Amino acid sequence: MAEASQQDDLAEILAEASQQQQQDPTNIVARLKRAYVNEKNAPELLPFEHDLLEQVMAKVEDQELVVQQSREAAAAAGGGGGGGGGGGMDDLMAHIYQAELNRVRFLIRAYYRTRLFKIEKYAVHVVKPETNEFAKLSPQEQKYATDYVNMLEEHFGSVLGQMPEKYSSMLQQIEEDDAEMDMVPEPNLDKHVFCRVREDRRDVMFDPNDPDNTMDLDQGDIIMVRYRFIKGLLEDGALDLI
Amino acid sequence: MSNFGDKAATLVQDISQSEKGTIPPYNDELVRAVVDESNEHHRSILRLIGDIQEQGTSLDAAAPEDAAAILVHHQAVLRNKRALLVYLNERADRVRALRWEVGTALPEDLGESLSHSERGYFQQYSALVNRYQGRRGGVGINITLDPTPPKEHKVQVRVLQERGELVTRDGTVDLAKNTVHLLWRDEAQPLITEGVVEMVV
Repeated sequence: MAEASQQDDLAEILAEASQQQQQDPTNIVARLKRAYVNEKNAPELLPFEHDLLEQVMAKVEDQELVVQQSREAAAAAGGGGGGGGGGGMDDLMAHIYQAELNRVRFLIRAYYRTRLFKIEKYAVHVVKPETNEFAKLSPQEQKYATDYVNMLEEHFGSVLGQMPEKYSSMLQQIEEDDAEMDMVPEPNLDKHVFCRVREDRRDVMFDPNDPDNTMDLDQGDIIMVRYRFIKGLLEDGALDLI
Repeated sequence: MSNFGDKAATLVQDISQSEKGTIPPYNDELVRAVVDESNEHHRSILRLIGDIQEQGTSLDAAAPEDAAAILVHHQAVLRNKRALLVYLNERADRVRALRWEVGTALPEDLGESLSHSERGYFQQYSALVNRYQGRRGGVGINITLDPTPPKEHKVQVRVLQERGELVTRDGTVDLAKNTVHLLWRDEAQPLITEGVVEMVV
């Protein structure tokens, strides 16, 4: 009997938890997951989700406290009642919270990592003053990008510095004032991406060169299109990359 | 200088034929040879330009064969430069990957395969990642953990190197050699990376 009722409790907790997650539009974990998947699939860097990360990090700390308290409660009850039911419940809750925390931490790490690797890939492009790429980074990422470019220049310079005069730049094939930086990798905005539509939109024009070609987007539709054409919709939150 | 670009091609082959994720010994000799060859090309360019100017002709009005020679030498240098950067960049990518795989300490056997500059690059990169994830001025979370989504939250590990007592969230664990423990994934991961424990499958 006792076992059955515990199983019911567990089912109830899990059902409640998953329902809450689905319904709550302000669910920050769901938002973090979207931010991570979007970042992972976008060819360029997206603006850093400053507020979201701040909230998630604060929430993680709160939750850690809850886990600790549950564990202490479990230890107290376990010591007093010889492994009583209440202690077992607290222990179980502590484990469930801990498991959830681990998932959230993975998302945070993965989000930060994905951005750092993208920054490394396009470092010189990202720190260029004339693009607004730099403004999309968090202060820590800005420092990372700047330092990264310096160390890359130093490392490549150890060999390129011995090349003939005018051929030793890592930005240009041959140094010329006012010429294009022809050795700086940039993200390919014409890459095709898959997206899932979040909001209904009527008569969406994708290609500005082909204004008559419009399309209706219905929530839940999955489309494949060039990133450049849906960049604005992604920023509006009208669709997600998948 | 019989075969323009031969050495550069060998350099690229050297790295592209090596297995992904491994770092073959740095080919200092060949890198120097490619740089020397480039400087030789450059001297030829300067000599050709000097000859033209000596004849009193402007560069625009140079004989086609001289202009072509300059162009060929110039393109040869650019090609060498490309090859050098392919070599250096691919190696740099692999050196950075080490920071995420083995941590801040460069394994000794690998250290010998790196050039002096590459070793410095690894140290700098390692410090860069540390600064980013540090508590002060950084994001305050170790981002090298969890390279893949967590499936199990606890993992069973066997101790390979005597480590004594370890304080975990669940209490202290005595990491005596050859003992087996159930640890939280995030607490076990640094030990696995360091080679103190191994996962028991």
